[in-house]
Amino acid sequence: MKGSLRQSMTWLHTWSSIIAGWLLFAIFFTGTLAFFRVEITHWMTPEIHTSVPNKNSVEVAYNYLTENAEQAKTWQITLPNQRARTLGLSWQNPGEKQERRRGPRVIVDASSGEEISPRETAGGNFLYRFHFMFYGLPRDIAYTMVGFVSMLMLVGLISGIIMHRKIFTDFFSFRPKKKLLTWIDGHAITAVLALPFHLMITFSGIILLGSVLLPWNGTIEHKGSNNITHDKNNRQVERVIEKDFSTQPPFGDMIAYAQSRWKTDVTSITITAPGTAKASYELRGNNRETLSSGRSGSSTITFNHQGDEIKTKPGTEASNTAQAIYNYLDMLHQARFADNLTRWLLFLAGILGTIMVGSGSILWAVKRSKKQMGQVGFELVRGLNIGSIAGLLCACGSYFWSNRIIPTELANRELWEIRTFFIVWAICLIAGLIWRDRKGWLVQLVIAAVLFTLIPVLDNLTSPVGIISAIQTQDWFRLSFNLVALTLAATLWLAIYYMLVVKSKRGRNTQSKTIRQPNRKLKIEANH
Amino acid sequence: MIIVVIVLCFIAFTHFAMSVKKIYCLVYEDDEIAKKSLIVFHGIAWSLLFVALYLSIEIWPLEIGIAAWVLLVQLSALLVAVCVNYFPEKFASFWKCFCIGRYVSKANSFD
Repeated sequence: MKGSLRQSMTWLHTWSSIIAGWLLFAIFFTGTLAFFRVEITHWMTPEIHTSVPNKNSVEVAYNYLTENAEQAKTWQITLPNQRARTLGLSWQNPGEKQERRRGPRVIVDASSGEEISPRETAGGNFLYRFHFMFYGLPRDIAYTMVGFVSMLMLVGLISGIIMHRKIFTDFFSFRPKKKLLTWIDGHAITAVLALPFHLMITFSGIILLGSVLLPWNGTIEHKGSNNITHDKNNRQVERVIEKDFSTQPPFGDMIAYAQSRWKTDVTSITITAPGTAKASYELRGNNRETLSSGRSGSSTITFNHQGDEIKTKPGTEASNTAQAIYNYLDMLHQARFADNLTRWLLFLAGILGTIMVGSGSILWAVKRSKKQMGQVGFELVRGLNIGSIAGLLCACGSYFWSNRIIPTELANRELWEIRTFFIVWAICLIAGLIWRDRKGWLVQLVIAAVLFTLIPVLDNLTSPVGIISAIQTQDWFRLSFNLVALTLAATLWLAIYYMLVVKSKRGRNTQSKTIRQPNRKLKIEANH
Repeated sequence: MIIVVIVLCFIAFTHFAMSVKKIYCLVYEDDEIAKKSLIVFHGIAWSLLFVALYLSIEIWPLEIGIAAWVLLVQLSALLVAVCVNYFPEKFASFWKCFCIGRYVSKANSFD
């Protein structure tokens, strides 16, 4: 590290990023997909595609619970909302230990009320978990690795800002078809345009892993409340209570009232003491006013059985400034506040981040291709670039395919989905190291492009509900997934076309020019 | 309302883009941007961004509105970058029809 500040920062930017580049690409890519993990899980459980929400979904849920959980102390109904098309029902039986997911949980068709048994799938949660704890590693080691890589990312971002001499002049500039300059511009423009997002997501990521990265900060003990009642002999007390479900509460009025107050949909209803005179109905929605209040920042309205409002509970506030800042970063990083539009905007910014990291790794190799070709370090980077960028796309495509191809009755089938992901990725990494040239890129890009192009076809063939019906029933989660897969495929085909046709043409032109002007070429070489 | 915010941010970034010498030269074939023009372009751009921020806070609650505004600003900047690089003629027409471009003469002064 010598020379001026800018030169030092260039050195720091190059080496901090190349060490972490491949892991960062995987983290950014899977993290970006994780913004839609619920929707991905929806696509990966075709059994729930049959569920079509309607106005009576809450009554459907109520009827199911009266038949199947009559004696329960509480019922929890998760209504179809912006991110779900099924009813999620859970209840707590008398004397049952209160856990995070209260008692049994079932997924019910929102219109027919039939119980749905979805296939075992790792779904979008695998991608979500992978982006901050990888897979199969002890939690502390994984967190430390991700934290370290995130710190390198932050170093890369800050050094990148300092080293960029014309950050404002080059703000909009992109020079296509200019080889090295195109890579530099592509890397810079994706970094600069979404810089606030990159800084926010990296910094908040480090803060979220703070408890592992700063091990001396004390341990947080989670003390769960224990509501089990025991008799004198320490046996659980169970008694049958007479309940009356002859009249349904006015759910329609309650929901309409809450929605008019909050200007947003009601997402869940908690019913305490159902079927008794003390029955109460607590409505919850995605109505948070602030990000600093954290996950429990939404207010609730409670009604009695007649539909009269009996209580309004405001969302909890952060206890101190540090907690408020942590909540703010947590909410932003995990997009817990996001409606459809902001979620898509975050997704787009994530894509820009992924391109920034990927183009940075490729740029490193392109820049040094003439000088270092054949050297072990350079060839290793070149090979790993193929396996970690194109290979990851193949692995993700295979993961989605495995979800539909692996038999539903296979034991531990979600593990086989994950195994498929890693097996394909490992093959791509090895193949990338063996075929490190353009052919290596082409083969893996073609495989990824084919996988993603055929995803809508696969979806149509293996889901109980066809694509046309999905359009008719407005299953936008599924249709959006297919559209994003097609967009990704189109981008990959474009890259393949560029590599096959445009680059070959340019290569031929350069050759013919060299033949026509041999003296000029010699002159240029002499100058170099 | 959200569309209005995006359009405002887009026009704001069009002004920022036009204050870059390289892009200015593409439209006016001049070598230099007058300092007065630069100040006006930046002034209009920042004003529009603040109006967009106000509207975002009207649409969403304060903290969420600020986050959404930043994301919309990024989207608009990306759209302007795409227009400048891939559709420069349409970008120039947009500048001259819908922005302050119609009041800027080739001789670098306001008509």
